[in-house]
Amino acid sequence: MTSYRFDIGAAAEAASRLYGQVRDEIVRAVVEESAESKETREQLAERLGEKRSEVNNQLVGKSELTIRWLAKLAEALDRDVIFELRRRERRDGENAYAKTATVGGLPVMTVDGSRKDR
Amino acid sequence: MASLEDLVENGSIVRIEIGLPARELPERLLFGTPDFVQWLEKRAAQREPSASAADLTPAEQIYGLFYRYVAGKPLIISRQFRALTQIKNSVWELKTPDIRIFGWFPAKDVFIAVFGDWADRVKEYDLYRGYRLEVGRIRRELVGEKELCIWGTNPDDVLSL
Repeated sequence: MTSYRFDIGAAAEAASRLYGQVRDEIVRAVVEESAESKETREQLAERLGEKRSEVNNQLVGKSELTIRWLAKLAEALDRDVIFELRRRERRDGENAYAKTATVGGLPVMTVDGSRKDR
Repeated sequence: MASLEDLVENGSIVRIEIGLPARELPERLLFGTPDFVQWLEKRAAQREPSASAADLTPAEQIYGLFYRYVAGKPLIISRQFRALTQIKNSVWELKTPDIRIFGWFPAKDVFIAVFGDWADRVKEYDLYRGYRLEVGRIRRELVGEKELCIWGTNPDDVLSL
């Protein structure tokens, strides 16, 4: 074997990318604001009505991220959340999104219902 | 001196690929030893839940980490929030809430993963030293003492940021 594709399924990959993007944005905003205002994590946690450890867990991805918590943080940081579900534009020659939702090693079920072994 | 191509050819390392969305191309290369790839296959197949109450499963966390790495995204936002750390002797750790991955950079933007393990196990049994020594030993076996390794200690020595 000279190469291995780490495949967890298209849906899981999309979820992973989205969570990563949201958390990066949250962390960046918190770091920026605290650098500007000199507010400590402890003080931010107090304003959110939470313990510092709870806020830290959110920032490092060790607890469940909810839209309510995101909205609360955005309010505390005086920032707007911009959310959009944009329609994908297809262009010739681009790499296609995976159409399967299977895990590595299992037979692939394609969207047209046919089945093929890897 | 062995090149990366030689190491792939003789089966010492395996190229690890991940799915990227449309219009994104790989900007960094990822390899693993056959043992690491075996560990990775298990993570993909077993779908374990997170040990730290994270939203993402360990397999999803690994994908997310690899995606950020391969797509050329930042792995370090601030000193406190970093997915990449040099342990010592140019052995680097990639991390997610539940997972730790150890390996080295043979060239800038090229990582060879050697070991993966659970974060709580690594911390509880203080396995950092053991993994550092083992990665060093395997690196010496594969590429010798001084070849195919970036000896810098800063993240921008090993990654284009």
